[in-house]
Amino acid sequence: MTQARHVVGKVGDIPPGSRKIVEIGHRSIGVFNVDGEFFALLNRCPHQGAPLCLGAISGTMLPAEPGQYSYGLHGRVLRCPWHGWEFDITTGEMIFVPDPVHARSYEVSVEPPELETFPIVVEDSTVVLYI
Amino acid sequence: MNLDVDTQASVQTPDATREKLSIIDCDVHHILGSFSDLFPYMDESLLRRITPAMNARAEARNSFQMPRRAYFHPFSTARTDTMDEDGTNHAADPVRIKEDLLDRYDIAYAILMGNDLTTISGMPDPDLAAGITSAYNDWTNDVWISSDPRFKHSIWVTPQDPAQAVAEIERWGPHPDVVQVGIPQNDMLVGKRHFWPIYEAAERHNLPVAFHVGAESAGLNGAQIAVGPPTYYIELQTGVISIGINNVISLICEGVFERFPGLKVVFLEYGYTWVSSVMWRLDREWISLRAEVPWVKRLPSEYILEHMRFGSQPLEAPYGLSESEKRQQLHQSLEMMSAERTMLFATDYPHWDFDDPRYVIQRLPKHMRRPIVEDNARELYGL
Repeated sequence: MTQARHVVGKVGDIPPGSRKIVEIGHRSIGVFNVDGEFFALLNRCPHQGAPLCLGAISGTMLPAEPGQYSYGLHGRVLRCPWHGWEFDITTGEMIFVPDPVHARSYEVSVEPPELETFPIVVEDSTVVLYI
Repeated sequence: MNLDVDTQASVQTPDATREKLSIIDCDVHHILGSFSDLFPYMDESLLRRITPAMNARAEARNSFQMPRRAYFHPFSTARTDTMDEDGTNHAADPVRIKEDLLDRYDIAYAILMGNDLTTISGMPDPDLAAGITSAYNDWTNDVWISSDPRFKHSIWVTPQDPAQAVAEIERWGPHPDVVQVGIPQNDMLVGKRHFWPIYEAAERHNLPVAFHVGAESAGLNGAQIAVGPPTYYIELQTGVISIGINNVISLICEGVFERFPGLKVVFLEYGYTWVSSVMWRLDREWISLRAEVPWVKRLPSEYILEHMRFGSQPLEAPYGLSESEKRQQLHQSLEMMSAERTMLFATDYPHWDFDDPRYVIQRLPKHMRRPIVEDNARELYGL
């Protein structure tokens, strides 16, 4: 299956810790910048169809001994706005929950500036989504 | 008191229904003939605290008594055919309990739960409660356990003072006939850290911990029914399932099985059709709220399947349906809770809501009979 190339925007448009929701055809897709790396997830929770990519980006409590809390994975966790299911933005898999469901993820790459699009001033690389 | 007892089932021969199963009855209540039977097992200072107060003639309401439940059963909590005219119960006599139960139903082992300490958690004085409990354990061992190898001992400990409970477990843990530790509940969910020293000691001695109904509304204890105490015994008797439910949830969410991975917990008479409901709901909530209790590392239902066992009595099955519908729905509910792993057979002799082994076993799905009646208890108690 050939993948179509979709320009999402400039790297500077999506700084680390933020996201950009793009509409591609009938699909709504969230593109996330996690510490300078980009990841894309379908904006639809595999649980009950909520707009997953509008959820909070944070960390979560790592498995710990009774009575102890250990916060971690800051910036890597996307929490669904409905039921609070936590997904690893970098893989689309649920965090610490043994469950077969995972969020649909897509390939994202950062490519050199495109001269024809930005012929004059090259300030930034382009975030490109392949579907 | 089943309204639609299948009379055909109860006249079938034992061999036909039991398929050569060795029945292990996980809930049998032996009874004190008189409270004074415990006196030989009490030290002098304990005796000097109790006996003058028992003999107080002026005001019965202020004299010593074991905590009583606030609710009275409308006829009798003992099967009336187990009582003599003078009120003596067959279950107060090791010989008669063997005739009535063990020999009649060819029961291989009976776990003795006692009948007299279920309310002691409602006693305000922790030392009095622990002292009486120790005497009761000694009496059970001397009079009952020593009298027949089929009797196995579920010792009691009191929750008021965990340190004394631990000492009692240490005292009995090495005894080969002691197979379990019973804790009468008080007004505290049993997952709380208050109970952890008791769990640690039980785990160390490889003894499961059992919770049995009976302490609700006794002494200082609340009726523990959600939204407040009910009016009638029937409400209490039915509503105790909510206590089982809340304690199962508490044990998991407090991380008891992460802290004590060898611990097994038995719930007797709290019902079981709710087990699948709790598994489904708690799994669902945990998937969303896991980070609040990050020590709960697996699906809550996995802890239930691995660490918890539920007594079969009183058998919960539908009424008012056709025989095939009853069977189908009962089997479905047992499948949903993986009863082949989680259920223990129990009669509750000599209580009024006794389950006849023949009545129960022939209603179980064939592939579950041996696990429920025999294998699960053998594994749990090392029999």
